[in-house]
Amino acid sequence: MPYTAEISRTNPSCFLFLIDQSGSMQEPFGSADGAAAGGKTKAEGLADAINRLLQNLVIKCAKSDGIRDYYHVGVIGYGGKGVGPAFGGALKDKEMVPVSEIANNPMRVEQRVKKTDDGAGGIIEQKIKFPVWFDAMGEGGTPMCTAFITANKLLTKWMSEHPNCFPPIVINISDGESSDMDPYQAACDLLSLASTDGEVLLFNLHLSSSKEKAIEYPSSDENLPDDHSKLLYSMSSLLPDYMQKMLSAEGLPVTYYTRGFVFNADLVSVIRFLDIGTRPANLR
Amino acid sequence: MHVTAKTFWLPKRGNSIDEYEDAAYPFEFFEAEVTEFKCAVADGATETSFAALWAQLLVEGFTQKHLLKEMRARWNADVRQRELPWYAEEKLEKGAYAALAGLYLKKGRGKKNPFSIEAVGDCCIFHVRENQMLSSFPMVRSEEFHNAPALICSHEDARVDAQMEKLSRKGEWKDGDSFFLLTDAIACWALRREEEMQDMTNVLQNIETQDDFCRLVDEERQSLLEDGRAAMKNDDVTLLCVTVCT
Repeated sequence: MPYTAEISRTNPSCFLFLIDQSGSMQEPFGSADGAAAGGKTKAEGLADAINRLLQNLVIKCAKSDGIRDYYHVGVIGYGGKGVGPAFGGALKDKEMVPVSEIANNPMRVEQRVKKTDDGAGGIIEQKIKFPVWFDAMGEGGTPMCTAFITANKLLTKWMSEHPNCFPPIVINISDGESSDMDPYQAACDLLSLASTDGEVLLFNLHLSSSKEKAIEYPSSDENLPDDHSKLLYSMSSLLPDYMQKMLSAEGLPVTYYTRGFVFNADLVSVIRFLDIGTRPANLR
Repeated sequence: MHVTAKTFWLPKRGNSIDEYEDAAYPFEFFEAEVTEFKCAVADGATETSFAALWAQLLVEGFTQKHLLKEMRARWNADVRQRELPWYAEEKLEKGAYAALAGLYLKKGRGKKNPFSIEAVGDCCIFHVRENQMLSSFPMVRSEEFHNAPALICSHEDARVDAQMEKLSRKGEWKDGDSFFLLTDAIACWALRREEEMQDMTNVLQNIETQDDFCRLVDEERQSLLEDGRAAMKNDDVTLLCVTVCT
């Protein structure tokens, strides 16, 4: 059965994020939930979401005696400055990084205030540490095809070193069409990479400045509004069984044909998408 | 009543002994004439912080009749005195989680000898008489095991505590009865073995030494089911075998 390999220190899996860093990412989220984004630009919202995801991943892998390297993580940015690793600080230029290195090398640790419900109608303000590995950025065009080609090379090498891994999960986050070449073939090449446990999973998350409602995890392209959304849909993997169960548990409609794709995502659906896409399958 | 108790255990394959996150009480061999006897197994959730410590506190708490509140205070006092990096501090805030199953045997005053079981999560207790399984509690079938049972948290949190389901059962024991306390990986394997081959009680009762146990677990971790999954999931395994005579 695919997507059942045990994830362990001797058999880690990986997440690879492809992040749009084009000029339009400096625009605000535009959906009905714009208020939830708090006026943030797409680039800022995304940077916060990825930093939070990395924080949660580090904490998941943390034990009393240190960090267990169940995962390696890569972040590739693509924009006006070209295509390349997007980590900053001590991790600058690093392509795939074990979780322990991520844990010990944030660029900085910010002090933020978290507001939570006290259960009695009031709000508690809690000071929390917010490690930052990734800053918001946006200029120039959208070389998405080159990003997929780069991802292919990176994963081919990584998977040659980890042939029995739980298949890597690639999450492509963008707000517009590719400005270099049609990315379809490059995405298909990526989707054809496989470990002994199954094929690479490629999920696409499209961020929006429009006020149109998000289309989440569709099972067909019937209701998708345009060619671009249909292209991204065709480049997205079917959800494996364990992710279907996660979505179903959250009350979202799921079928065998449901794909890992969200169009016109607002910040809330970005966070949910990243959580579903990176929640461990076999870590008990 | 005469009670003997033996614990067999093995960490997850690929982990060291220090990384074992189950607990059992008594852990060392026990044999005595007593009027009452308590024992327990617990399984710390590996994604949580200081789970092994929490599992150990829970089995001690059950057998020594300490309140949950007290064990929570002890866990917090222990972990907060340590110097920890940012991620370990953050993780502490989420607390540790564990499953627990405990057994209480008592010598009855009349002809009936009572026992009671309490369980939270997916640790199991089998009651066996003359090589037949009389009952399994709280899980009855192997398909009931899944990856997200409700567990006991080391923090007091009304919302989490409300979701925690403590199940209990009472019964009677007779001379020569056995009880097996198991953590989830071996419990699931045992129930499936009983469903498919009806020889599980024989297999468990034939385990006499830690070597016997290790051999069985190694074989079953490598043996594959029809769907390609391992017959016994690779996880920490703990088996506490209790025999009671009048």
